[in-house]
Amino acid sequence: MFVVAGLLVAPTAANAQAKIIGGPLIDLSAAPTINLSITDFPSKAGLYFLQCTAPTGPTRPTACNDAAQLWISSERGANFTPTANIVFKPAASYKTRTGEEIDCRKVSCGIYIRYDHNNGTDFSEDNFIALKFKSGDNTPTLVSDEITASIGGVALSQRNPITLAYRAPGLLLASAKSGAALTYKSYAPACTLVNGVVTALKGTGACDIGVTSPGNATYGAIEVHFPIYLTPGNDGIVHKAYPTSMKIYKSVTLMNESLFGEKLKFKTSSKACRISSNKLIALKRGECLISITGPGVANLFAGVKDTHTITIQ
Amino acid sequence: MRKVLILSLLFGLALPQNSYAASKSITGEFGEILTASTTTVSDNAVITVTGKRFDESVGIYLAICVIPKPGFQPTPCGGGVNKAGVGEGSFWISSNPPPYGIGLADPFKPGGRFSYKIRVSKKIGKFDCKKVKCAITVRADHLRSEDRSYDLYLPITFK
Repeated sequence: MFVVAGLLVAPTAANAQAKIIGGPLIDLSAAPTINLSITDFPSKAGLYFLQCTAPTGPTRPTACNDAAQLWISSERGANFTPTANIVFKPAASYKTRTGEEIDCRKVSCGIYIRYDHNNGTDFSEDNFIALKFKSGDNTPTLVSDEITASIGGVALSQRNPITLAYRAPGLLLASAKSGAALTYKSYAPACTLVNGVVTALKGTGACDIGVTSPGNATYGAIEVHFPIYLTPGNDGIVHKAYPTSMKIYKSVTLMNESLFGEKLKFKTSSKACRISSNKLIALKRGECLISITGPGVANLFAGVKDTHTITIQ
Repeated sequence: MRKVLILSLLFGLALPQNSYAASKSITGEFGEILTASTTTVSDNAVITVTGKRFDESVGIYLAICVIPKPGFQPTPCGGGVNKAGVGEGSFWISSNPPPYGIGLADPFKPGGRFSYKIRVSKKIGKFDCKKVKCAITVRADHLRSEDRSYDLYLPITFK
């Protein structure tokens, strides 16, 4: 490590492309501000900066500070863009989400750098910059609040994104250990968050849902980011729009638009009815089974494949 | 005949993608489809314009504009930018607008759809659409105002 213009150049992992410059990294107070900048930012994805204990093996550290996490990316919603001056605010002591108390004056802590959720299984940018806190500085810091959240009943994780299908609404529920009122934000344009419901607007890519707690006298404020992977959805029909019974010799025009606005095709092999385009004629008493299909859109949703039965009376 | 065909091909190749199609419907480079009930109109007529398969994560403006030179931002447009989201001349469609746009922009319907009745005026500012080429126009909203990849032009003709 060597000094450049009063700041420190952080060591870089041998295979990491990104080079991190900045500081201070030593003699840190209990709640320091570290200014960093990145050169050679990787093109594959963004990066996460996390305050964690030093990794002890080939696996990523898990004893991390939820209140000191940054997302560096060109994507909307990131904390900083790759070329920005990055302000990182670690703490001399913190509590992990599993309740473990970490005192960085006694154990080795630092900034753990890794690819973001867009390339989460790639370890090539994993990097660790050690931080040294002043041992005499006992300024108390609040333990970060803890937030648990779910979408559609599926627990959210900061490290293992759940999947959400295009246009499948997901009710977001969250609570904080402090009991404080939470605020919510969708940081990616591919998801909306309206009245507590997260809706995916795309069938590929990722979203980032931020949940913020202001904390209280016991727990410090925190914003937690939950990444979500998007998957294609399934188009459908409004079954209620189709009759379930008809009088013999009557005809009906069937709604020929799917939930996602695609044109539907109707077929039947039943002798009780006949379909031409979307006009159905009841010919005989009995069951009229209609097969309904519609086109899908690549990477967005699968087309309609459904059936509907009408009893001809 | 051969000469006409060659000239037609050359003319077609010289035009930017998505533009100047003499049809009631046009497909953009991302598969989005813009359709009008008619493209031959009288002054002050009301036409129905629908869209489907639009990228719902990208806000758009729908308006009648003078067709610009290829690669340039469509302007002027009837109704202006319409960040207020009111009027019959232009519409702001965005499922994820900035905070000031919530309640002003209309969200896309599922499937990237929208449907509006647009009042068509042959005059856009000082421009007369009987003398210059005008079109039902879609462009990315002011959050991506420099992004020309979302531009769509459905030319209109005044009777």
